[in-house]
Amino acid sequence: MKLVLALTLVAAALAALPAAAAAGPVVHGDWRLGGYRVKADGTLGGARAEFGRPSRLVRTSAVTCAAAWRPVGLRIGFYNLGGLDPCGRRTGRFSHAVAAGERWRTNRDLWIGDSARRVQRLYPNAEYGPTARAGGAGGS
Amino acid sequence: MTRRSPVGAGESYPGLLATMRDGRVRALVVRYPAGGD
Repeated sequence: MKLVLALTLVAAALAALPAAAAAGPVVHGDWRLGGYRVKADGTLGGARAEFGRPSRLVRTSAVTCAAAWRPVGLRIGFYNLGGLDPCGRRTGRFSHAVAAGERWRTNRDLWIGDSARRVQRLYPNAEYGPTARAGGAGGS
Repeated sequence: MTRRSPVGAGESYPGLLATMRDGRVRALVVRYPAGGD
């Protein structure tokens, strides 16, 4: 009886979630990560407004900062070339992001874990190359 | 998704990139041309 009640409560809680939240965050090209509008507000503060407080925030050099949101499966690199704090909410500017959490997908419905064949089908004009082309994207 | 860089010599760079491992998408990577990598 307790198990039935627990399952009922879980089902009710899941039903109450917004559809978008249940489906997970969506990458829209290179301009939006979930609700984080990278081009309109590519600040660290904008990322915090969308994903919350980073689980990791490290100044990696005089001009770079690495942030991570582990529960979301997201890492973002920020920078400031003007001598201001690259880890500042207003002064850290978006450089690159790595979304590796299994709930991430693109607006064309490409999910983490999908096959190369599906990449080709959804992105027929995609270029293929060595991982090195991603540069420091994985370094945050 | 490939973008043309507005800085430097205007080389192309991947604005949205899927990194693969063992034939599967491992991560989605978004990059901007000006950054402190």
